[in-house]
Amino acid sequence: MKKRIICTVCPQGCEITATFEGDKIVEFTGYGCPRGVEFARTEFTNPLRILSTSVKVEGGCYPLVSVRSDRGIPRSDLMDCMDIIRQVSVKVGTKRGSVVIEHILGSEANVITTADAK
Amino acid sequence: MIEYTCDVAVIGAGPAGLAAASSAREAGAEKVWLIERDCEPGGILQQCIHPGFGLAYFDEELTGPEYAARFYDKAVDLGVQFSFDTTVLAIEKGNILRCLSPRGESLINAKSIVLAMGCRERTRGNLIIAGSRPAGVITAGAAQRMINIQNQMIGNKVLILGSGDIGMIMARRLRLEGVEVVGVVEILPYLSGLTRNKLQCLDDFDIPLLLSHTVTRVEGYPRVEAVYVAAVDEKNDPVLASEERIECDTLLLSVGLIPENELSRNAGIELDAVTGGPVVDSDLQTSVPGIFCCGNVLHVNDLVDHVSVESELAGENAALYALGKLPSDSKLIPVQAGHMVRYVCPSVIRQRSGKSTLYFRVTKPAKHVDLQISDGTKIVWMKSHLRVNPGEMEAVCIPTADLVGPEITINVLPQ
Ligand SMILES: Cc1cc2nc3c(=O)[nH]c(=O)nc-3n(C[C@H](O)[C@H](O)[C@H](O)COP(=O)(O)OP(=O)(O)OC[C@H]3O[C@@H](n4cnc5c(N)ncnc54)[C@H](O)[C@@H]3O)c2cc1C
Ligand code: SF4
Repeated sequence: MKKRIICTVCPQGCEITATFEGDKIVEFTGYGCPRGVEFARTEFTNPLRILSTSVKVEGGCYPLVSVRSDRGIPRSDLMDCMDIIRQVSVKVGTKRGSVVIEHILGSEANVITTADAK
Repeated sequence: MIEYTCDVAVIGAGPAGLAAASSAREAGAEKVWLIERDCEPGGILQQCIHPGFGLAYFDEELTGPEYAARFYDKAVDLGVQFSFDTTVLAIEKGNILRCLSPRGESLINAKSIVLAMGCRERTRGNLIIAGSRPAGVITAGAAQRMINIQNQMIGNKVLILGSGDIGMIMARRLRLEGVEVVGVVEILPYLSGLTRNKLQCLDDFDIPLLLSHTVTRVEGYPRVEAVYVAAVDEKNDPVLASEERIECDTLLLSVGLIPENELSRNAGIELDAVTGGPVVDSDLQTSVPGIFCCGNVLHVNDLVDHVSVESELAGENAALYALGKLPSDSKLIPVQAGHMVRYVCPSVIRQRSGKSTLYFRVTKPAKHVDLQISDGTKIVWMKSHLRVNPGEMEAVCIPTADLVGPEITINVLPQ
């Protein structure tokens, strides 16, 4: 089986084809540099995404403050993480970069604020 | 009325204004004043809570608020003076800003000015979509502000018109918040935003993208009940036989941005018909001496990293102008958009010892092309590209000292 993907690491946008034998990728073609192979391998095996959303602020002028995961989360876990993040809130005065949730869903990733809660 | 003076006045505290103000201070301007109508700095980045900013400038992936905060902190450290809640109403006599704030009206007399007002979204009115006029037709940026800042949801079942970045980013945002996104409809035969956003915002969430299709009418009152979608022919006219009714309660429009140039126009600044922004030279100076321009008000950018670099140049030159140190005697070489090039910014190079960066967009997507710059006598720069895309701006930095020809032309040629 073959799967195709456009590499988004740099603006060249190489179209990379991965040839599968069962679950295993046996060949990559179409990449312009090794970074593309790395990209295609993770995209086809365990794609990671930075999750960004917002949480409620208690007692602030603004109802929300923005947050993100401080590293990639498996793409398949994004919706479950949203369910957890939706439960939390922060106090007004919480500074940018504060950890809101540690090791979300048992992963390495922490959820941190990306702005001051005002 | 209170009257103030300053060396460099910057209008707009988005990423463009913040970078310009800091670099004006660094270039030696004593009093740099940044005027912003919002009550917070950061411009559009405040609501862009998604990552994808700073990969080029900081070699790090940041969200919009984080990217803006770095530039705001730097500007504060450098002693830039800020006025929030203050709208510039007019630029008078080429160097006086008429401002309005809750404290009243004031005049700021500036030795030089940087325009950094950003842009606004095209609306249903710009597109002339037929049908009823119900609630639930909203621009993607407005929806982004409501959801990310005001904590208000916009609907339950959404159709998005336009495959620009803002539309795709909002498709993902809505999905994460549990809203159904029926699809993204694009009139062009290709994506108008970045490929990365299609992958991470649409493909990740199985949101269909319908190319060469458009919205023909809106149904329902007082709320949207359905939207009609049809395929388009080569002339982009809808083929009515293909029209299909899609049930939804919200139509999100992501159909382009318009540089916000009412101030510029009224100040007598010459505007470019293609970009909608001021005509500038390679110092980023407009047709009115002492008024410089950068960011989305100059031309619509897809990457904020480009905006920051360009704005630092505008700020530096505005400072030099205020200090009387910006050379004005250099030779002018016009820059032309050649084969497959929609526009080039700046449109004139001031020939000096340094380098000039030319930003341009292609007219249509293509694979295996040569980007080629000639000065009328010879080819001065060339590079091959695997693919080019109108949604991804190209930036080329060329040395200007040995340009001899009468004008510069950028061509994109099939190999
Ligand atoms: C929804 C969206 C998503 C984006 N996503 C990405 C991304 O993932 N990665 C990326 O690199 N880039 C992205 N961009 C592009 C990037 O954010 C913009 O290029 C950048 O913000 C432009 O900066 P600016 O300072 O020119 O304009 P703006 O950020 O719009 O700032 C202009 C400022 O000027 C102020 N102003 C205007 N008129 C006046 C006046 N008369 N008086 C006083 N103040 C005034 C406004 O209030 C505003 O604060 C995105 C843009 C949008 C809209
Ligand atoms: S494979 Fe290498 S050259 Fe091609 S797009 Fe990816 S990073 Fe760029």
